[in-house]
Amino acid sequence: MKKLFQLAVSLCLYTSLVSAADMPQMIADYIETGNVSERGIPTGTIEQINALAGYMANNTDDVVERFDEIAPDIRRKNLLISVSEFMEPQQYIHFLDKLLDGLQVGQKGVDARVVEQAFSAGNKKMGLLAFNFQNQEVVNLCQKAKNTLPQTSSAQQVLTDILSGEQRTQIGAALFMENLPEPEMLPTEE
Amino acid sequence: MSRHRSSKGPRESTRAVRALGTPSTHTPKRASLSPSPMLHHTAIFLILMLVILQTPISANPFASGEITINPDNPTGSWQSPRALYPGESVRITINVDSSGNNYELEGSPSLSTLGPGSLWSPTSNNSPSEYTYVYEAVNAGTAPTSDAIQVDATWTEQLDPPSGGGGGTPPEPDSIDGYAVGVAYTNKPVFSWNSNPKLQFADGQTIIDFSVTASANGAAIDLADYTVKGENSWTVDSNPNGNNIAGTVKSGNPSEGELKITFDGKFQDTSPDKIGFAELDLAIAKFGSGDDLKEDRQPGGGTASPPHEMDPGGLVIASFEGSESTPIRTKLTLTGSSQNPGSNGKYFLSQQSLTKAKIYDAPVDGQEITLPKEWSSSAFGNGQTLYIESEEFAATDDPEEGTLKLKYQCELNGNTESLEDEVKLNLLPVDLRVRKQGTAEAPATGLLVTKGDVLELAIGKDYFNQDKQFEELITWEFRRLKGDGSYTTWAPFGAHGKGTKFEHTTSEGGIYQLRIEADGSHVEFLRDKDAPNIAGSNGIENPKLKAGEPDFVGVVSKGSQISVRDFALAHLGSTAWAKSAPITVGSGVDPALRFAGSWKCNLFVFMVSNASGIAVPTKIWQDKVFGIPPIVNRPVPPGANDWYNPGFAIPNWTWQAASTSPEPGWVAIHQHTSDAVSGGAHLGFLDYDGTWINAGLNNVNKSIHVSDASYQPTNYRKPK
Repeated sequence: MKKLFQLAVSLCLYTSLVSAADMPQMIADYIETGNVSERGIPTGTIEQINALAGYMANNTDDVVERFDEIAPDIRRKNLLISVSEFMEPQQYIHFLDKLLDGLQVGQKGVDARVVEQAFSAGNKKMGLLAFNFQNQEVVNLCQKAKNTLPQTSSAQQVLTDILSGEQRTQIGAALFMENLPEPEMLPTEE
Repeated sequence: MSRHRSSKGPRESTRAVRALGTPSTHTPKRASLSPSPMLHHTAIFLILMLVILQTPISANPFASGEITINPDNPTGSWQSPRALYPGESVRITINVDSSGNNYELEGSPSLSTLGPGSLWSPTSNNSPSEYTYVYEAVNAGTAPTSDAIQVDATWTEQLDPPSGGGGGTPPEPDSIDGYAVGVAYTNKPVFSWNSNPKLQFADGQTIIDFSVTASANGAAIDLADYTVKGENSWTVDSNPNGNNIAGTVKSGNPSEGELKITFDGKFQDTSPDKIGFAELDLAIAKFGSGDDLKEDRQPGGGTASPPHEMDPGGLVIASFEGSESTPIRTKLTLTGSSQNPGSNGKYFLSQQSLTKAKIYDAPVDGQEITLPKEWSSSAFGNGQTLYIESEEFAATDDPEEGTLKLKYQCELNGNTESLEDEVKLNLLPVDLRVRKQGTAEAPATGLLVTKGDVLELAIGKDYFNQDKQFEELITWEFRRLKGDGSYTTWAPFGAHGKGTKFEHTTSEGGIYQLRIEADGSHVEFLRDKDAPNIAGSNGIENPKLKAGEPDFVGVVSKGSQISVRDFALAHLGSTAWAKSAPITVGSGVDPALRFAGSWKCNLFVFMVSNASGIAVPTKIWQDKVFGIPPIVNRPVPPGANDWYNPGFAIPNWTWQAASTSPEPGWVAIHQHTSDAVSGGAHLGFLDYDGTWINAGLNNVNKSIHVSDASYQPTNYRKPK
C-alpha cells in the first residue's frame, strides 16, 4: 500500500514536470480577483477553484518556486493555500512537502507563516493530518515540518499533537461542532 | 398832377419785421385791388375756415395788440412782446377804416402772411365788423420761427366831379397804400434735465428717476402739456407738475439712449446725458446645483420677503481639516449681455468677507478662478456659470458669511458708470455629529444607544450650542440597514429634523445611517477615522470602514445587546481566538479541548455571550476514540452551522431570517453554501455600525460588514 502511495506521488511529480507551462488566463484572473473569507473559504466558482487546484497539482514545483511571483501579497498567498485543500490528498501532502523544501532553501515568499497556515487546513483537508497521524507519509511530513519550522512556531505544539494523536481529538471536536464529515483516511503501513 | 402818398410798403415792413430780430423768407406782396369784393371775401372765408380747422387756438393769449389803419394813418404794426413758447399765443386785432379824409377803401383789404405761415390764424370771432381782423398766433410746438400777418389796404381819393362842365381831362385820383403788420415769433424753452442713476438693471422692473424743468429768459415754463419719451423698449412714466416733469424709466432690454421731451407730439429737446439699462444678475443656488434663490430686489424697489439670495443666501458646505468628505460646490450664475450699454464694458466678480471661498469653472475639478476676476464684455458674453467651494476649516474657525458681487462697468457720457448685484454666501463647515443627550460627544467606539434614548444631532460639534439655523434649507434624513445588506430608502426624520441641529427620541432598534439634504444635495454622516481592526486575514482593510465612508448610529431594543457588544468589542484585536491558538473555553466545555488549529468564531461567540450573562448551552460530542468503547462524551459549544440553522435551538438566542432589520448586539451568521466549501459557516456579533466583531484566522476583527455581498445571505440571532 505504501509503495502504491509513493508511486502516486511520483506520478504527480512527473506530471508537474511535464505540464509546467504558462498559467492559463482564467486561472491568472482568478488569482488576481479571488479572496478567502474569515472562515478560510475561497471565493469564486467551483470551476475556478478546481482549475487553480488542478494547476497547482500539476505544477507544484513551479508554483512553489514562483510562489512569491504568483502570489505576491497575503491575499493571493492565502488563496493558494486555501485552494490547495481542493487537491487530492496525495497532491496536497506533496504540496506541503514542497513548501517545506521552499522554506528550507529560503524560497522567496515561502515563509513560516505560509507553511504554518498550509499545515493548518481549515476546509476540505481539515483534520487530514490529524486523523492520519499513523500514516507514515504524514508522520514523515510532520517530522520534517517540526524540523523545518522555527521552534517558537505555534505550529510546533500542533505538530506534536498530530504525531501523538491528540490533535485527532481536538479536530474531531471541531468537526463535530460544525457538523462536518471526518477526513479521508490514508492507507497505513501493515 | 397826381398826388400819390405812399406809406412804407410791404418790403419796408418786412425789413421792419427782420429788425425785430426774427427771420422771414416770405416775399411780401404788394397790395392789389380785388377785382371782386364778393369773391375776395369768399376766398378769405374759406382760407380762414381751413386754418381754423387745422390750428389749435389758445384760449388765453398772454398779449394782444390792436392796429387801426386809415388814410390818415395808413400803416401800423404790432409785435408780440416776447417769444411764444409752446402752447402760448398772442392776439392781434387789425381794423381797416373804409374811409377818411376824402379817401375811400378800394376794394377789400388783402391778408397775407410773412414767414413760414404757420403761426397766425383767424380767431373764432374774426371779422366782428367789416374790415376788422382778429388773428391769433399760437406756438404749437414747432421749431422756432417768426411769422407776420399783414393786411394791405388801398384808399382812393374821392374827387369831386369837375364843375361847370368844362372840358378837359379830369384829374387822376390819388391813392394811399396802407398796411398793418402783426409779428409773432416762437422759441423753445431751455430744458434742464436730471436723471439718476445713469445705469440701471434691464430687468423690466428697476427704475431710473428723471426730472426735467423748462425756463425761458429765467421764467418757468409750464410743462403740463409736455411728454417725455425714450427708446422704444423703454417704459416711461412721466408726471408733469407745473414747471417740472418727474418720472421713471424702466426697461426689460439692455439698451441705451436719451430722453426726449415733446409738445403735442413735436420734439422739443433731448436730455444731454444718455441713460442705460444693463442686463446683470448674480444668482446663487440655495445649495449645490439646486434651484437659484429668488432675487432680493423687489419690483419697483424694496426688498423681497426671505428666503432670497441675501437672506439667508446660498450655502456652501465646508469640511474640517482632515475630513474625508468630498466637497460639494454651490452653483453661481452670472448673467450679462453683449448688448449692454456703454463702451468699454467690463464685468468684475469679487468677494467680501469670504476668505475661504474658492471659485471654479466646473462643478467638479475644473479651473480655479481667482477673485477679484475681471472679464471684458466680449469675453464675458452673455454670462458664466461658476461653482463655489470652500477651503477646509480649522477646528477653531468660525463659519464665514460674506457676499459675492458682480459689477458691470462701462463708459457712458464720458463717465464711468457701474451696476452691481450681490448675493450672500454662507460657508458652513459641516461634519455631522450625533451624541446621546447628556454627553459631550459620541464614544470613540461609535454611538450605540438604547431605544428611547434621546439623540442630539448637529451639522458640526460647534452647532450643538448655537441657535438653530437654516431650518428651511436643511432636512435630516435616515435609512436603516436591512438584514440582506441593503438599506431602506432615505426618509426624513419629520418636522423636527430640520436645520443645523435637532433632537430625536429613538423609537426603534436598528443600525442607521444619517445625512442632511439641502436642496437636492446631500452630506452624509461620515467616519472621521478608520474603524479599528478592519483588516481581515488577507491583510486587506474593508474599504467601507475607512475614514470618510458613511458612519452609523446603533440603537438596541434591549440593554443586554449593548452589554454583549461591549464584551465582544473589548476583545477586538485579540489573538486568543486565532485559528492556530489553543484556548480554554470554559462554561462547561470539555477542558481537554483546546481547539488549536480549529476555527474559533463559534467559540468566541459562545464565550462572549456567556461572559455577558447570556448563557449558551453546550452540545455533546461522543468521542468514540477510533470507534472503540468507551465513548467519551465531550461537551462542545454550538457550531457556526448550528447558529445558522433555524432548526437548532439555542436558548436565549432567537433565530432571525435574513429579511429582518438587525440590531447591534445580535449574532450574524453566514453559511458558505457553495459545493466547494462543505457547508462551513462563520459568525460574529454586530457592532453599532453593522460590522461583525468576529474571530477570524488571526484575530478578533471588524473586517466584515452586513452589506458585504460575500457574507450574504446572513441569518441572525437576537438575545431573548
